[in-house]
Amino acid sequence: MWIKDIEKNIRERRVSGIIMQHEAEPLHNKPEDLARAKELLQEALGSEWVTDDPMILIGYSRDQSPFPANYPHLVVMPDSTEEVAQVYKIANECKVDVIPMGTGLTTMALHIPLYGGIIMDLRRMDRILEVDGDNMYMVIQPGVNYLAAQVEAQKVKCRVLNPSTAATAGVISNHAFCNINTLASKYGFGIDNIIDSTLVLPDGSIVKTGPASYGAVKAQVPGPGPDASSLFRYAFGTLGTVTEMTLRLYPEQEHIYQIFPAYDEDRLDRVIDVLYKVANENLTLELAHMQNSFFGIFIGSTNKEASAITKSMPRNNLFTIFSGVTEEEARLKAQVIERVILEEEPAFEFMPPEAMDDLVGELRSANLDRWQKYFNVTVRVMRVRGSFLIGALIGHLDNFLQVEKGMRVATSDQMGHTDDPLPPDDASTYLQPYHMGRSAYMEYDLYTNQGDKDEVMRAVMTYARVMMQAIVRDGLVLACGALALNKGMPLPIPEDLGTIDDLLPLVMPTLAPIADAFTQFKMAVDPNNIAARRWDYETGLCKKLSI
Amino acid sequence: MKKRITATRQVLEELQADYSICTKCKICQGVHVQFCADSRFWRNCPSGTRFRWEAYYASGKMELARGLHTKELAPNEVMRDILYACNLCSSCQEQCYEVKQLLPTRVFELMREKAVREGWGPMPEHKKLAESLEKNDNPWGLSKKKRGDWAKGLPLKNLNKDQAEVLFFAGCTYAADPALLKPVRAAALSLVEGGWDVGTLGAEELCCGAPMLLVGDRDFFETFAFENIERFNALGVKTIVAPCSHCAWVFKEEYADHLNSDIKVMQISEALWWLLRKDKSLNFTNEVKMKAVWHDPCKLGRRFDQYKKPRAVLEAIPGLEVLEFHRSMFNSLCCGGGGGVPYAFPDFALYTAKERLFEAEAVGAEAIVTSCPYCLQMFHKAVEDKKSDMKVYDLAELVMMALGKEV
Repeated sequence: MWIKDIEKNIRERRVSGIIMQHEAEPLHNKPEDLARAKELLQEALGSEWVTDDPMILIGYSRDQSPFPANYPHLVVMPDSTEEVAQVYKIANECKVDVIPMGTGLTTMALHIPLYGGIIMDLRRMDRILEVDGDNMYMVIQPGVNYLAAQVEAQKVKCRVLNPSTAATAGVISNHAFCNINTLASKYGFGIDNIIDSTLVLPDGSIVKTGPASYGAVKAQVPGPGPDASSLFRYAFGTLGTVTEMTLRLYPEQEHIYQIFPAYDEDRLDRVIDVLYKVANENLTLELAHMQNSFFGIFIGSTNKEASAITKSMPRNNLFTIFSGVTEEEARLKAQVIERVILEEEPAFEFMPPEAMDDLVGELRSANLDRWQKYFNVTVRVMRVRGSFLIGALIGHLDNFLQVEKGMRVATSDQMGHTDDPLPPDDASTYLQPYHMGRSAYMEYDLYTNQGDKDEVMRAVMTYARVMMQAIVRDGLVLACGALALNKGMPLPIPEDLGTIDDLLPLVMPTLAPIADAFTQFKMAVDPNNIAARRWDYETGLCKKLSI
Repeated sequence: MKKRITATRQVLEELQADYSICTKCKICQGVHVQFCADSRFWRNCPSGTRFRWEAYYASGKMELARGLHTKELAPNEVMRDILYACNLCSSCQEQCYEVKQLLPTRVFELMREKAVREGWGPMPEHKKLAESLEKNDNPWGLSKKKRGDWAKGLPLKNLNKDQAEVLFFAGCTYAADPALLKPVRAAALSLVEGGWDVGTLGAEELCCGAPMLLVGDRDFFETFAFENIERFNALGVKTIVAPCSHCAWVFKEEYADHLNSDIKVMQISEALWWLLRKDKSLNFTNEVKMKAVWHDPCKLGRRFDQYKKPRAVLEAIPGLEVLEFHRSMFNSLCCGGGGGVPYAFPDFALYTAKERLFEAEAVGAEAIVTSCPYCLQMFHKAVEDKKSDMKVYDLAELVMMALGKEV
């Protein structure tokens, strides 16, 4: 009795209740439907794996985005493709929304339940089902993270392409999203490295894509035959859930050699010219431009290590790693690139590898050899305190000089770390050629303080204006498949210009038909709109903008 | 009313920034990426691994703290169970602090103190420990008279009558558990073998208070701290050696400001290292042919960065092949015995100990060596439950074997 009395007392005195800011007049997720759904889900998955306890729900209420907390109504943990299908079938029957969650590391509110519903935590499905080193592929479930995948790939002398994220990030969700591979963009994005997938559509039917769909052996080339894999890219759970994926692996090179080209002037235009020259030679295993602070957070395993590296590095750096069957081959490639760089810009200097060895050798965790060969994961995502947004822009590097200036203004004076000598605005950009120079990638991070809503809004608005300018003036395209997330969402600018859908035909006319196609496809595969619902079919609007 | 030490206290709300800006990056759930060579062993949060829901990981418990702060949640039995199903092993903090400077383990410790203050903690099972502490000055029901029995026949001074330079503080668990008799006698004897002038408090020894601090009852802890500090300061000893890593933890972290400035506190593994490397008074003559893996107790390793000294002692033992767990040093997995978990959730504690035993088997060890009574107890239970051939030793036992001395 004692605890009940205390609970009652505390509630009466000061508890304002859990955050269930869902719809005023919900069409989905009605109390009676949720009760029925819970009952059916417990029958299907076992009562141990279904809960509506607020103490459990709160763990699913926030992520790394600036979106405020919002609770789901239920959380479930399926253990197989069949159980995922059961969840969708029950959700359809009861008209309850379903939001899948891979490993839960998301910067974009992908699993914050705007309207409540069921969070489907997929971390029980954490098996690596097959690793084939000869044919260089790996079959995994959605709970597998980059750390586990990479370690298993190494055992067969292969590697998984890593995005610039934490080792704890989910592989399937990143590959299906975009997965800008940190330093190996010559191999394409994550989405270019999916061989096949098993999906559960919102109606509960199970679909296989790629060679697996017609029983062919898994191969490094997609096909022959129709391949529906691309239809589900960037869908963020709005079209169902991927429960298995076959990924390409790449050989782990026997010999790795790295040189450290550096350019101390703060002139991005010169760096861009050199970057393209190097990319066009196609000799690097990995290639990117990093400012000293970004270099620090890539190599350092802790903030302290990142700061130490940052202080020791010149302003602009090219991250150039070479591989070879012999060490001589790797070194020879490096020599060619050294010459190419100096021909293009004689002011470049080369930091001796021994100096870098000395630098990281003094640190507890940073180990350049292991970092280069195996993981390529950084503390960049992990080190964020508060929340952040990623601005990912794709186009030609030459276009970025203007954008870079705007971004730097937008991201200056951000929420910093009180004891962190790395200011976020300075440690949040890198440039890399994509597909060896035909296009490029640039990224800025926007740090926000979730505890200060005005600050969040100011930061997001400033950032949005720069992004809009970049799109309208410089013809840049948003890297993320924002349609699934932003469709029907009111524009985050003071003037009432309507929704993203209204603006899209004006600023990106070529993308507008794709938005229509996405809309039609979503309505066809998810007639009840239960899969990660963000907009209503009837109105076409997102009811909530939870910033 | 018993007297207590008076020290500045921290309250949960002071760490609001920590639990409010945790961004769920999940770094707290695993080992450091650069040190993982087998994906089977990447997880390092015992409660999250066992119970799976996000709330059981540090990132989820940080949300519970935020929910308490914002009044989104009122404490109930479920919140209490989640909070006390944490081993407080600090693995999460070890990972998080290095990158974000957040202190999740400290948040959970203060949540427990809040729980006790407000009456919704600790677990009912922990109250039995408190009752025994009230009655017997130890949490395990050991009669006060028998407290010093473990030392019968050993050449140790009685500090209640005599003077000695070193106080050997056995601790409740070593004193009370017959299965730990050999380790504690080995620890005390090894100091004598090294030439130190060692005494004990015998039956007058009191609990250090650590069990109560772990479950969040700081008031009760501070009464033990007060009595112990008064006594330690009056003894005139230069060094306190504790075989128990939990005793050493509270002496170093909680007592330190109140102890005479010339009193040095050592955990037994530090003392053995000192005898071996500084005094050079331990002469290992016997071979100990065995493949042994060192388990870092959380309160020794992550709390005080004592990784190298126990390994140096082991490596000095002739014939001993010293192995490493996949999860070792600051990535070490808890034995399951931390945070008061074995008394409230014995099955979960055993689950974690068996996972560690599995890892020891996976690296090819014939024996697990450690230096903490809770770790020893948990590994004994795991070995018994799995009917494993794995041997379990305290570091001091191996030292005595290497010295060729019977305990």
